[in-house]
Parts: sequence; C-alpha cells; structure tokens
Amino acid sequence: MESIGIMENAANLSAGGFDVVFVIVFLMPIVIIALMFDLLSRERELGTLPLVIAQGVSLQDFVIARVLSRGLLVLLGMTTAGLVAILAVGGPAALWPDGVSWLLIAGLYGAFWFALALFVNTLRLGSDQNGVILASCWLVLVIVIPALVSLLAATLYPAPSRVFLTTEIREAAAEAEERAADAREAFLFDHPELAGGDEAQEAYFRQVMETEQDVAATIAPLLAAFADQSRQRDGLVSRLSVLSPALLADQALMGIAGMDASRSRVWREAVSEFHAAWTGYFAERIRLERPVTSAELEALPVLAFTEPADRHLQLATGLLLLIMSLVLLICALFRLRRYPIA
Amino acid sequence: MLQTQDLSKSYNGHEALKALNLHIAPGDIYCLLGANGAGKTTTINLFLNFIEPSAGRALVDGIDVMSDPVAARHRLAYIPEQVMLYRQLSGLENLIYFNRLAGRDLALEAYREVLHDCGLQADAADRKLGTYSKGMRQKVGVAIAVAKQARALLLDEPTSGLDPKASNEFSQLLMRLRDQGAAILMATHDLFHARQTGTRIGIMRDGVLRQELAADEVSHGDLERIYLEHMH
Repeated sequence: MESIGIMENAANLSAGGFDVVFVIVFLMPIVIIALMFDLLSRERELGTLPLVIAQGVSLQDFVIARVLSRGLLVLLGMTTAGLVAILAVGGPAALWPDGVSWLLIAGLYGAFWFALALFVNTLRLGSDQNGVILASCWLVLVIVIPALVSLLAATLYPAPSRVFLTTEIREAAAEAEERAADAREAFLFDHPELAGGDEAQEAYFRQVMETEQDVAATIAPLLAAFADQSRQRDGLVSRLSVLSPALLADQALMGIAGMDASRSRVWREAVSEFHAAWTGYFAERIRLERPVTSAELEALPVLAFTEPADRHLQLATGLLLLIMSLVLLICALFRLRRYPIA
Repeated sequence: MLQTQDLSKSYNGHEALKALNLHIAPGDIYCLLGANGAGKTTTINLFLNFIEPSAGRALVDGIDVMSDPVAARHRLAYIPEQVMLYRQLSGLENLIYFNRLAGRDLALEAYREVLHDCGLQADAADRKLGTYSKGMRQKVGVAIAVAKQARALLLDEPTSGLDPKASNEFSQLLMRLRDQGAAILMATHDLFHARQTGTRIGIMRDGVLRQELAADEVSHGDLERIYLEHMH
C-alpha cells in the first residue's frame, strides 16, 4: 500500500510510513489474530467445552461473549490511539464528522478480522492450524494483494520517470534560453542604438518571461501525461481495492485524513490553475506594457481549492466492510450450530 | 425427571442406541452398566444434546432437549469421566467460573464449603489446577455439579480413576443428593459401586437395554452373574 501512495504523500515522505493508519491496517489484525486464533479450538483441546456447554449456555452465546470481551479490548486500544491522533492533529473540531467516520471505518475493519478469526475457529481445526490459516490470511490480504494491485497498476499505467521529467524541463529551458538569446542578439543587431539603455533592459525582461512561457508550453504535455497516468493508476487501485479489506480501509482512512491520492491531485490541479492564472495575469500586462493599477490589485487571481466531496467513498467502504464481516459472522454462527461438543 | 422415549442413535449406519425407554424419577439413582460401546455415553450425550438423536426423544423435567437444549441443560448437572478444567485457574476459581456460567453465584465462603463437602482439602482450593491429581479434579467437577443445585445429574463413569476412599466419599455424596430429591443417571463399569449406590440398575449391550433390576433386590453375586450372562 505504501508503494501506491507514498509518491503522493508528503507526510509519508517527511515522517515515514509508521503512522496511526499503519497501526490500524497492519498491526491491529495481528493483535486480533493473537487474541482469537484459539478462541474455540483451545476449549476443545483442553476438553473444557462439554462442561462449559453443560452449564446451560448455548455455544453461540458462549462464543459471542468471548469475542465481545476481546473485541472490547481492541476497541479500547483502537479508539484511544485514534482519538489521540485525531485530537493531536485536528483538535476537538476534527471529531465530527471526520473523527467519527475514521473510528467507524477502523472499527469495521477490526470487525472483519474478528469475524474471519471466528469463522476459522469453526473449521474444527487445531489451534496451531488456525494460527497458520489466519497468519496466511493476513499475509495475503494485507501484504500480497495490495502489492499485486500496486504492481498491476504500475505495469498498466507506468508513471513517467521523474528523472526523465527533470531532464526534459532542463533541456526545454536550455533550448528556450538559447532561442531567446538568438532573438535578442538579432534584435540588437537590427537596433544597435538601443543597446545598454532602459528599453534594452525591459526587452530583456520580456524575453525572460517569454522564455519561461516557452518552457512551460514545452513541458505541459509531459506534465499532462504524468497527471493522466497518475489518475488512471489511482482509479485502477481504487477499483481493485475491493479485493482486500486492508486496501479498502487504508484508502478510506487516508481519505478521511485528507492524505489520499485523489485529494492530492485536486490540490495540485488547483495550484496549477492558480499558477497559470497568476502568470497569465502579469504576462498580459507585461506584453501590453500596461502597469498594474492599485484598483486592479483587488482583482488579482487567488488560489481556489475545494475539498473533494468523496464521503460516498467512505460510506461505500464502510458498507463493504460491514457486509464482509456479516457474511463471515453468519457463516460462523451457522457452522457453530453443528459444532461437535462431545 | 429424566425420560427417554424410543431414543435411538445411529452413526454411519451403525446403531449405537436402539429405542431406549427410560424413566428416572426424583430420588432415583439409575446405574447404566455395560461394556465399552454399549451405548451408555451415547445416552448421556443425547440428554445433553451434544449429539442429535436419529429417532425418539430425550426429556429433562418434561423439556425436549432437542427443542430447547439450553433450558434442559439448566436443569442438569454433568460430571464426565475425565473432568477437564482450566489449568491456569485454581479449583476455587474454576468452581466460581462454571457456576457463574450456569447463571448462579454464591458467597466466597459458600464456594469453599461446597469444595470441602465434596472432599477437597481446604489448602488445595486456592492452588492452580495444574497441581491437582485426577481425583482432586474429579472432586472439583462434583463440586461444580453440586453448586449448580440441578434437579438431575448425568454422571459418565465418575469414579473412574478414583481411589477407594474417594470413590466411597463420592457414593456418600450421591446418596445425599438422591435424598435431596435429585434424579441421577450414572454410566459405570463398576458393578459394586452400582449396587451399593444405585436404586435401579440397567444392563446395556450393543445399544439395547437388556435388563432392569432394583438394586436392593439383587445381591452383588447375582448382579455379577446376570451382567456376565448378558455380556456373553
């Protein structure tokens, strides 16, 4: 998952990948597996199950009570970690609705792992086998599938090389400067009387501006291709995230925290638009040799960024996690009805 | 209190129990005798609804164990041949845990008294179960059954592995529970114990109840002879 988002995520670039989302998505399932792998199998191995059930509790009630007691522990730890992170970053204002959504998604992701562990316990295998199965599930759902999705996205929509992009910008700048120098030399050859005067200086600055515009026009298709590949890659990853609850949770939690790729892209596009408007505003006046009046200062272009409204994504993620958990839970409860006691 | 009506159980075509009809009233100790595989444990497991019958019904206090197993189990106490408890808990903690699972609770001193009444030494109550002998574990199992104050007891070879003194103490305890009105079904290999403790004796072979006897109408020698006749 890191390989998907890390190029876009400034926080990850500065602080590394160990954040509260990493704790929830990677580490919380391990804690749940450690608490749950022998929930029922251990009772069977100890031989205590017949005496327990003979006391007058149904197996379903007994198991659900044990799951809830363990779930409470995890929920307490998860909520504490989440609240500390939310309050530390955003203060009390971040609690509603983002903080609550964040905790809900994290809770549903935990519920999925509890339901999966319960289902594995109903397979009537030994505790060691349950442990191996659950560890394998963790490996596949949290590591392998996200890595494969990342690999597939990078293969189908390879991002243009940043080194290539930098080289192209440098080459375009050098060529534009060369063209500008040639033009300036030709201009002074035709108008030797203007050499060294104020007009020559103004002409030089105009030339600089035109050079920059030339560079921008040259690299624009490259940047557009870069953005397009990035958009297609993110779209594919988003579609394939249904293959892994870990991917779903990671994307939703990052989205709520405002650290997801789509928000980053919207932000970059807003900055690019502002850059174009800002330079265009002054370039036009430089070209027409028309100074900015004090009245026009009020109308200077401003950066406009609108938060992408993708609450539906978190809602869909929450629903998917809920459905996955419920399906596993129902299957587990159904299997418990035929679980051998004696 | 404990009743079966044509209760049968088959495993993959093998009939482990064939149309068993039993009626055990309050104050009865019914001892099921028979060799391994005779159907004794199957009968007990059917009463507990640990397995489902192929035909017939098992009733506890009039409740069909198939239709409401939890309610039926609330009226039952069960002592298996090997009482398996939580090794990391003490005998006292095991007793408290299982009694609370049954939806009951007592004062701490009352729990100690139950353990004492069931023959567990006072200094052993707080020791981890991992240090207990089989006989001591069995006594904790009996204490769990006693503390539940169930109206019916199912005992699956409860004296297996107990020394003669512990076995005798267990018989005394059973008779006390019988006198208090409990209905007791005990599967056992021990003819002597069955005749000494039981009020009625049933001899089973190949899933069939071959003969029923009143314990006070048969001598130990006669019981042994009748039993062996059925086994050959």
